[in-house]
Amino acid sequence: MLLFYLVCPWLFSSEDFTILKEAHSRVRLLAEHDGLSAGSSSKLALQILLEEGWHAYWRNPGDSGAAPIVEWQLPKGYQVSDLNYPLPHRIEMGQLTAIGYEKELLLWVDLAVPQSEELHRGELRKIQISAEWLVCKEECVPAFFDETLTLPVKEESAGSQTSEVFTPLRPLETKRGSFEVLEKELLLELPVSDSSLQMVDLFPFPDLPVSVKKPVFERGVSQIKVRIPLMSAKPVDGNSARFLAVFEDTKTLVKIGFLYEATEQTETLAWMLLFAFLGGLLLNLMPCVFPILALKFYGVFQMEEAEKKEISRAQVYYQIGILVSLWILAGALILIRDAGSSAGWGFHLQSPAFVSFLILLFFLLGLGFLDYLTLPMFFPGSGLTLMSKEGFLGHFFTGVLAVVVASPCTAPFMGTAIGFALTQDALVTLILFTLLGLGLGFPYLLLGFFPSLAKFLPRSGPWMVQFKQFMAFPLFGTCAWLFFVLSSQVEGLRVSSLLGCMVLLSFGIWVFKSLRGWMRSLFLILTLAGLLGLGSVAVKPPAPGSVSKDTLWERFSQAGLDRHLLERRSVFINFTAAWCITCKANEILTFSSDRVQQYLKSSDLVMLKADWTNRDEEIGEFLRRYDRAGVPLYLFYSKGSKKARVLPELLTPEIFLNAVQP
Amino acid sequence: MKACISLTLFLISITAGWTAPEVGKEAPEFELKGHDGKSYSLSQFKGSYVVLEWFNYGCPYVKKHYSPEYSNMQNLQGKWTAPREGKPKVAWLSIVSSAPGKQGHVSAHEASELKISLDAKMDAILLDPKGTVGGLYDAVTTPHMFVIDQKGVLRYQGAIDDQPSARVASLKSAHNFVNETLEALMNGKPVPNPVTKPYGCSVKYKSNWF
Repeated sequence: MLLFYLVCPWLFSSEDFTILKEAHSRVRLLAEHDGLSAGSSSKLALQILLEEGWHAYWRNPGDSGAAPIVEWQLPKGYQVSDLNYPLPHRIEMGQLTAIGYEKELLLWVDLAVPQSEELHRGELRKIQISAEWLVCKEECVPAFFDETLTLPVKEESAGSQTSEVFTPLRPLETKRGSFEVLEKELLLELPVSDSSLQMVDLFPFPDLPVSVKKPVFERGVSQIKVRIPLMSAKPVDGNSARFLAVFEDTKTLVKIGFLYEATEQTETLAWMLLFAFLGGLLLNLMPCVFPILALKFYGVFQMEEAEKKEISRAQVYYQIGILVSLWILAGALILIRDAGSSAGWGFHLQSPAFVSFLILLFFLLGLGFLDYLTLPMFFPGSGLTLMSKEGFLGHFFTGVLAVVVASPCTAPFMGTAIGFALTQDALVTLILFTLLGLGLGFPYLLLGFFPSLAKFLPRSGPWMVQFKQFMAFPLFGTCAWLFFVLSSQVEGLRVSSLLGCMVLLSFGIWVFKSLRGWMRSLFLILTLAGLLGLGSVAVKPPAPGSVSKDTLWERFSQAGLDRHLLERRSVFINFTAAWCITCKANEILTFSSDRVQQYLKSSDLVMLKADWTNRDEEIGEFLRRYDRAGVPLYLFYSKGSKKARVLPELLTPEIFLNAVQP
Repeated sequence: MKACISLTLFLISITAGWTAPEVGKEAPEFELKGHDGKSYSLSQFKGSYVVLEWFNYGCPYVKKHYSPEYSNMQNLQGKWTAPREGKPKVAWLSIVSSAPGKQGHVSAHEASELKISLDAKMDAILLDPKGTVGGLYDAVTTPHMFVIDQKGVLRYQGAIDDQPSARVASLKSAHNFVNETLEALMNGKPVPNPVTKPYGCSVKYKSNWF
């Protein structure tokens, strides 16, 4: 016993501990604070010290043994969270494996004190614990501990005498994973973001018909594949199989655990491939990309008969341009993901500099369509004859441009495919992006291989000039929308300076076209100076938290969410971003609708808004947990439940109300 | 010689992974000496239902079921083994796989004494000190229950009930799986829970210690 005091200096006095001699344990019940404050949460812990050579068990004890059983008797209105365990060890004994603890075991819960206690200050409250745990060496002895803790209701509670026991306690972070049921084993895929963490062990939760022996790990680029033998014919619950994964930081050697909730992989790669292709195809119809496509077709009309044979070569170059750009984009996303940050489609729109660049690009393109300036580089066939050398570069860059202008847009199917792609390893991600690219280039590809189709296109005529000029306006429209995105990222001054840049640009183009000689050079230099000056003002990074106040929505945070759930309130989370058109549509259609507003007035549903317009790690992490690379994502937690229900991307008031009404 | 064969069989059964008995397949045949000196084999009970109960009188979980307060195990044994008109017979075999010197190990004489003192109603306490049959059935805890039907097919394996506590009071609200399985089988209904996770102390085999 003396050894205990020497080894564990944080022990204050042996009077605190109850000695269970036969059960080879010393135990005490601890509270984090010296009182109970209304509306707060306080931790309670059961600290068990085990005699040398004896061990106790984790929630899944392994091949034999028993998990601790803890029951609470609480005053009215109080609630306690699920029991939290420290990271267990593997205790191998012959051919049997136990999962548990040697020396010490600290089990803890979060106690939620109801708001109503405000009116009961000074009163005493009794909290009773009835605990049972099994202690084994070779033989096993059950330990029983029934104890009552009495605490006063206080306005503000200070830390208790043993509060430092509580400081390192944190609930496990939950991540999502997926699994496949193979003939005799379970193939688990767990996404891992931090490359400095090495997985050292994996423990299945109880009720899983799998072996508890240490499984085989295979580290992929951004995920770990685990093979676990199945123990019986009992089916695995496809909805959730939970595992505790223990990682070790390769630098600090500190162990950290994550709770993985795995669901059965139902989305097959085949479907995702189709979705990626369809998404790419439909992207051609989006206002960002449609003008480009239109112009390419327009370019076709412009060609002479002989040149029409060149189309097939042209479309190959165009396709290559698309694919190369998408591969670069995919590569960037994979790198960002592996570096630990969260990224998704649209991540580049989180950078105001890039948004500004896109605005200027679209503006210039629009001006080009209006024939204000000529764009020989990007639009072969829009007035100039095709020269094969120029042809390659021209078409290639048109392909690049198509991807660049597609980036603010997302099409049906595309979101799902990309979301799926980014949870897979690098190769699969690249394949899916390739298919997206093939879909994007498909219309022009058709024309390339079947030039006879060109016959079905309306015959060229003066209407084509008008059509081209008309196409400038969807481009300007995209500019306006991108301004909206920018305005929620940076302050007004910077937005105005960008507008100033656009004015200068237009002026500069006029100067170039209309002036000559020294006048031209002078004004060009002045314009350039002005652009640089205004440009630097426009692209400084935004100040965080510059989002306006909203009465309907509360700002999302993990801590806030946990608090609401502990208070047993229903929570609805809206993951959105300024550039997300679908999100805006849902906002107008559903959240601002009278029916929903009416319902929200009378219900106590908590509405959280997670705005991902600017880089936010917490939000990004949350999105990844649900296999989403981007927004929108709508989650609904019914009263106090730990698992959220995912609502469809396209919301209507009916869908929303059906989901949130009890 | 016999020891060699048994040990080899035991080792083969543990290392060959998927040889653990499967519910829905034929239960492994065995032959063991009982507390009364007689030899018992599984095949001699074909035509009756057979309940196998892994037993260790020193284990607190087994003690809970045998405690005089509820006599849970004794009542369960008595209920099913008692001869009933027109109802199929049920044989109850308690198996001790504890190695010599380990908790729960008993000689034939000690086993007989135990049966009397506990007022237990199993048909026989079978002695498996080498752990062969325990290994054959992949018995991991005491108690660990197996229910075999009249054709010799394994229909249930796992815990005795749904309260993995060592507290005697937990018996009050416990849902017993042996009752549930036998009742379903005898009424021609499907077994609701054919496999559950067994609880209890580890079986004190020769080659491992817990």
